[in-house]
Order: sequence, then structure tokens, then C-alpha cells
Amino acid sequence: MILEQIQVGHMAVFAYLIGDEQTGEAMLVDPAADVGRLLGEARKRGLQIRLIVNTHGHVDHIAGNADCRKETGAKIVIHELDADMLTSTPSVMLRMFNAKASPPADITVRDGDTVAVGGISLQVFHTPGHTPGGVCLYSPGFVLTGDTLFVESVGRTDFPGGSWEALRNSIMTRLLTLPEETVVLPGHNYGRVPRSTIGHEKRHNPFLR
Amino acid sequence: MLDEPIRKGKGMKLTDKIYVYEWTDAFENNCNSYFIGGGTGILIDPGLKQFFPSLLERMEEDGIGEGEIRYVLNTHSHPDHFEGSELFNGNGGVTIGLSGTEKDFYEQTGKHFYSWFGLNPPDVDVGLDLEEGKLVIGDEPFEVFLTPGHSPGSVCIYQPSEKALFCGDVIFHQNVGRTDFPGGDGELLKKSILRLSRVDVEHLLPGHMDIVSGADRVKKNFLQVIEYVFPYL
Repeated sequence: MILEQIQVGHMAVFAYLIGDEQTGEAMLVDPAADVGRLLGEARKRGLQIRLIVNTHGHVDHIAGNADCRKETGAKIVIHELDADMLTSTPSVMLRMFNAKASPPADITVRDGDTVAVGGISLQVFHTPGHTPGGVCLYSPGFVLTGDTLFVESVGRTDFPGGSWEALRNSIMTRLLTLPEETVVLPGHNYGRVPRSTIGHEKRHNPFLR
Repeated sequence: MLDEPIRKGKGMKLTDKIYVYEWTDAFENNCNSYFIGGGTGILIDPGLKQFFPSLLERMEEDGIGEGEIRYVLNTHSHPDHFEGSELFNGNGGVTIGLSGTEKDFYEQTGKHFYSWFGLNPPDVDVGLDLEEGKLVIGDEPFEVFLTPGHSPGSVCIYQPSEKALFCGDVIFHQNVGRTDFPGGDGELLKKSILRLSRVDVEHLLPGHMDIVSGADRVKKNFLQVIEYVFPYL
């Protein structure tokens, strides 16, 4: 399996390229910006993007959806509760992020669903709190945490639809219950290091005391 | 006669994406298999190992090579559906799917079922847990319904784009799956069938006997089964 953490744009967003080298298929999680570079990374590894998966509907994570979809024909996947956000980003926000409006979702998912390319399958965990339809994507060994959990920090809950109670509950019941060695792959490079583990966050994340 | 290759049943392209491989021999039991193209490469229920070459032959006649199989998805763990999955162990390009519930049942009980037929229970590397919910493969969405009754972890796989329901041995044309095998349960089977009857289905694609095509025919089939077969369960 190919799993690349790639920092893009001005907001230190981590996009993830996850692909199966045997079948040449891949998904891009949060192609937030620098789409040309992301697709170059995929091409370099002989990967064809089949899916664009958004961990949530905020503009800084979806800003590359339009270009990415145009270039690859990949389908856009997002949780059903954040799907409306794809097409309702205010124009002032789009300008601020130099972003094109995202096409609507092709496929909506909910908790318990599975997203698969080639031999890779990720479980969808619905983890509301940062947004109502935020998700984490889990496969034994690693979890993509979007803006739910960062390295020694957590997502903001002061945006519309945010809730600290929901966020804390999501993290406590869905993430910290995973095996301690599970690698945490966050949606922004906001920590001292770009990735962490569930065990480390349990012990050192000051927001989860 | 004995020198003739084993080659039972016919192959047919049902829709742009779905190929049907019915098993029509009345004496040697095996299941219907289905291949879903359209960039997904899914084989539903490979059947018994000994008959698998015949399936490959029929697929090849439709221009589908073995290399195009990327997923082997099993509706349940009974030998006549699941045994051939073992042939894909260690093939890195193929992912084998079975529900977690069915895998647990297989490990504890279902394995012994194989000896009834003089078969060795295969040790299949299941890489995809067919859980209740949406399953996106490549870029094609499917729905997995957990439908116990014939076996505890039986699943049906629904493909919304084709309105096709791959229903294993839950419901057949004018009949239902047996409930007298280990882990079978008539009440659960009734519930599962009632649930399936509410799905928008154009093609009902069961694990044995005839397929049912046409929304009206499918609806009628559910009604007939509910009226005439349920009282016996």
C-alpha cells in the first residue's frame, strides 16, 4: 500500500494519497490545494485517482475538488451531513482561499460505511464536533483524523455547526478506543511533528485530560 | 462422455456492467456466479473449486480474463458458493470479501459443514469485511445488507446504478433459502426477506436457479414468496 502525507496550500493542510500499487488505483483525501503537485505524485507512482474523499466540508479541505475531479474524473465522497457544504461555500471564502466551488458530492457516506480502492479499504467513522458531518477514516494501523484530532491538539468547535461536547465525545469513544499503536494522520500540520499515535495522544494531548 | 470437460450452465450479459453465470446442472450442486465490470471487477460467489475452471471458461467467452477479477465477494460461507475463494489466497491483486459475522460463524461452526460434502474447509484470506452499510469500490457505490436466516452472516449486495440485488441464498425465484443447515433460522430469514422486499430492484440475482428481471416481476416474486412460502418457515 502507498500512503503519502503531503502538505499543501497556505493552511498547512495535509492531503493524503492512498493507493494500491498492485492495481494502480488510489484515493486522494482532502486535495485542498496544489492539485497539480498531488496528481504528479500519483502519476509518479503509477496511480490513477478513483475517489476524492473529504474528511469534512470546510473550504480549506475541499478547495481542490473541482480541479481534481476535472483532471481525473474521480468521484467525490463526503459524509451526508457535510454534503451541502460542498456547494454552499460563500464566494468571499472561495476568494479568500483562491478556490473554485466544489462540484456536488457523487457519493455520500455515513458511519459504518466502507471506502475501498484496490486492496485497500477504509472504515468511515462519523466523528462530529468540528463540523456535523466530519469523518475519520480507519484501517488497522492508521487513522486519518481530519480536523477532529491533531497532534497534541483538537479541531476548533467555534465554527457554525461545531460542538465541543460532540467533538470530545467523538474523540473519546471512536479514536482513543483504537489500539495505542495506531498512527494518527491529521488534517493539518499544526503539531510539533506531522504524525503521532493514539497512545501518544492519550498521554500527551492537553485537550483530552 | 467422461472425457468431456465439466461445463455447466450458460453465461449472459445482463446489463452493461453485469454478467450472469447460471449453474443449471441438476445433479452436481454449484451456485450462480456473477461478474460486475464497469471498472470494478467483482466476482460474486466463485462457487466450488472443482467447477471454477468452467466458470473462467465461460467468462473468457464474454471477453473477461481471470486478471480482470479484482474482488471476490461472497454472500455466505457455504461450500457451493465460497470454496473457490481459496484459489485467490495470496493473489495480491484480488481482495476477498465476506461478512465478519459469517467469518466468525465459519470459524466456529461453518467449517464442519464442509465435511458433510467430503470437502476440506478452505482457509480463506478474507481482506474485506462486508459490513452492513455502503461499500464504495473503485468509484461504484454498493449497499451491503446483512440478511441472516439461511446462514447467520448472509449478506445481499445491492448495486443502485443497475438496481441489481445479488441476494445469495436468501430468496430465489418462487422460493427461499433452506433454514435447516447449521445456523439457519426461519424467523430471521422472513425478516430479511421482508426487508429486501422494500428495496427498489430491477434485477433479482439469486445464488441458485433463475434470475428475475423486471421491477414488476421482482415485486410479484416477493409477494408470492411471502404469501405461499412464509407459512412453511
